Amino acid sequence: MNGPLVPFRQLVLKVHSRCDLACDHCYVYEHQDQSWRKRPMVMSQETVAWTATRLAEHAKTHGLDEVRVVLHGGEPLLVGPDRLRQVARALRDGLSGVCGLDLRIHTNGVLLDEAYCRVFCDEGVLVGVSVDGYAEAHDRHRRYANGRGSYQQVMRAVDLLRTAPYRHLYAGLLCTIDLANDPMAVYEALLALEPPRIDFLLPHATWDHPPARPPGGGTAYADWLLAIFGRWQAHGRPVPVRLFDSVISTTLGGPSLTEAAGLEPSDLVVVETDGTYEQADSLKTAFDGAPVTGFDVVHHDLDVVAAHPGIGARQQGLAGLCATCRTCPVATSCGGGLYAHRYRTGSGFANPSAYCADLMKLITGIRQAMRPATAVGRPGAVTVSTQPRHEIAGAELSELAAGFGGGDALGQLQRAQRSVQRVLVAAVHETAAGLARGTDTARVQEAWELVTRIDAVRPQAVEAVLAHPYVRVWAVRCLERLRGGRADNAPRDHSLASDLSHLSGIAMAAAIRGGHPARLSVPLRDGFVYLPSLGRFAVPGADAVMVESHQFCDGAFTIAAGHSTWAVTPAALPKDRTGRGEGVSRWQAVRQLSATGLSVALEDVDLFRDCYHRPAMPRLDEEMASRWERQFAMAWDLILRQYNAYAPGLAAGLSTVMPLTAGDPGRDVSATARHAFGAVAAAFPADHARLALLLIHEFQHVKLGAVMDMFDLFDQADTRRYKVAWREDLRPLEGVLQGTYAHLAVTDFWRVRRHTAEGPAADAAQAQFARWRAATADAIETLANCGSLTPLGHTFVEGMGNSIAPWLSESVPADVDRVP
Amino acid sequence: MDATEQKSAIVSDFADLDRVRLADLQVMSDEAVSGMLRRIVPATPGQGVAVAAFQSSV
Repeated sequence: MNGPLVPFRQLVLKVHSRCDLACDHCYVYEHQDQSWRKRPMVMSQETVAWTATRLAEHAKTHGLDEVRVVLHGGEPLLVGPDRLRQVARALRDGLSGVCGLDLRIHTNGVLLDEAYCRVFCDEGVLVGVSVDGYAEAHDRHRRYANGRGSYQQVMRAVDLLRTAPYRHLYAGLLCTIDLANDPMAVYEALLALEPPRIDFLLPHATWDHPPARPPGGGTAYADWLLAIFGRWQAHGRPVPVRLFDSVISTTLGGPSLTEAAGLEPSDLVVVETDGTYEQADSLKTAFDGAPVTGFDVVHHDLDVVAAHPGIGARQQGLAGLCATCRTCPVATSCGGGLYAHRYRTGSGFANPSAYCADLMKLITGIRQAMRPATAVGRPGAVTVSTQPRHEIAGAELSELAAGFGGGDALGQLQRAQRSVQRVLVAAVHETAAGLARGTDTARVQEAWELVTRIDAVRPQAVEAVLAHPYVRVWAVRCLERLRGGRADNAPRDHSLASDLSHLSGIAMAAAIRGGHPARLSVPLRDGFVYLPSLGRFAVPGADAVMVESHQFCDGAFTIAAGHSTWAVTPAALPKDRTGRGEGVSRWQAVRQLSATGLSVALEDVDLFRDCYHRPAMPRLDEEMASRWERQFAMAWDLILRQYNAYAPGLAAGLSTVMPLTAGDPGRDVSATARHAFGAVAAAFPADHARLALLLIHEFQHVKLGAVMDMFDLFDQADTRRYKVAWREDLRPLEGVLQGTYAHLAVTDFWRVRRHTAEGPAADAAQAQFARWRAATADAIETLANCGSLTPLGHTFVEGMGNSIAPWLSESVPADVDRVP
Repeated sequence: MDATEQKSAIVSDFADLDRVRLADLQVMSDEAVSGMLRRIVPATPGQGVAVAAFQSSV
């Protein structure tokens, strides 16, 4: 599939083309490309201005939130602090009001002093430094032209960055690997410089000019890196190491964090001192002229460059790899390695990396280290890749695409969700046990063993708890935090260890549901012990309680903390065995909303329910809960009577309603979360008709999210933003798809309502119908023409289009636009 | 979708683990799991994540 144009988010600005060092491993001067000889030494201010203009127009066109610019060279400090200030200001001024700017500089450090640091402070420029380890290691290559080493000067620079006024500028250290250097000593030397992050770079090499290796040293680079990895992991990962974090991230399904590994599309362009655009400059190691595009900042905008085949070649993901790499078991983490390292005269870049064996060994080694010891060599272990695949009948997908979906269709989606839930929980356990810093691994392991024991004898009990919408939210949050890097968007009010310990509550909730005798210490959060899908119990002042479930006791359990013990029967109020009579107020069960043939949870206590754009309501009092039940029952009756086509899907799939805090008066508030399958969140609506609409609307998101869990409907590389009628901001493609699917049902709601309501309400319904059918039809056309849908995505959008087509010819009053 | 497509099943690349006991499930080191997780928990550009970062800068 030819993907859409991938906008550039990273621009390398070569402000100076010469260097004050003569490192013999430098790809700019010592490798195949020699274009530096013909380039101006310093980038003119006019070229900087043009670059800023081109970047701003590109960011505006593609709705980019932020771009990164790296000042580079040669050696960028050679332009002097005043000139660097001018460059920084030109970039910030050019992008002001358009998007954010992450501005960095990478330097050999030898010139860095207070004058430069003051400029970087003023202009917000982060500073990365190249350091190859201890003195002998660093000076092996990083020398002046006269042969003198640069270590002392670089250490002065790093020491300056470590001082209080400039510490916030210190971005990290890059270390180029040399097998002659002791890896442990290199690692400890870098660690001693207290960098916020480190990366290790494989020296540039191709199949034409392979990397230096000792005799018989087939994977010497992997061995070198794995030695460091082992120490890094054993010491609790004291500093982010980008290459290691990238392998961990991709193993957990996350993005790669470096162009040197992984399948993420390259979104990088270089501007040389003469204003010419180039592809990633590591290509200089391949052949003379390898990075050339033929375009420049004066005559060409960045969209022209983005369409260059050389740029596109590094954006094809798995499809862009050679046959060997496509079928490799570490492809998602390796991605064929750095593009330049694949080069061989005759076959171009259609090869594995010249470091293939090293990358295989490194990634395999890291992944093996991520598995807990208990999982290694376990008999009966099942590998996911050997299991049959989920499928959905064409007819059921058609139903869903048309905006509906009955019991069978939802059943298929729910079955797939069960697989999602199992994978996520297992991934959290394995990763937490293997890698997480500061984790109480014994507690996680104990909880996991209990869950697996119950799963063997009472699988429905485990299934019921894992199916709780906010268990998946919990698991995803843990995985995102375990991935590391800046992908961790979780709130920092609780530690990762605290989040992981929620597995104890999950295990005991399953034990209680299954009537399986068990006893487990469960940590408290904010004074409560949480039992997902059941409720929470208050024990203020305690860190953990002992929860005990009993055999055949119909959901009864006991909680003990200190000298106090409470017996809880979910159907009754808890009895306080100490006789103090406090039990009544401590247990907060998850209540049920009952309607004709349907019962869903009213979830106002779960620890991870606060995952929407509005805050969750605190625990509802009994009166409010009763109002919800009445409103829900009436809304469901309305759906059964007038919107029956949506009822089977809702009956099969809606499991939870989560109350949100109210919005502005007169405005309905509702939401779904991609990871909370089965849940709809809403502020208490004005009437039952509004609730019916909210349920129908939001459940569309639930269904489509589950479909997108199973199938790719669009190319994730399309990061463009699109205009839709229901939002002021531009939306990503997934948002357009979700919004269109939801508004298909909203349109249908008003299409019916205009005939069932009377008087002004009917007029208002006519206006809503006219408004939303036009908006939805426009959005369907946008989707159909975006060029990024997969074949299945096209089928799905066609299904939506087939539903709305007959509605477009239904008549509405001529003056419908005048109805407020 | 035509009549033929309606009758056929559309197969996901998502493994069916519904009948696999949790104790037997081994997810790490499995390329298929990485693929599943990429779809379930995709990274979203523009959320402050520098994906595929230029390697000659840190």
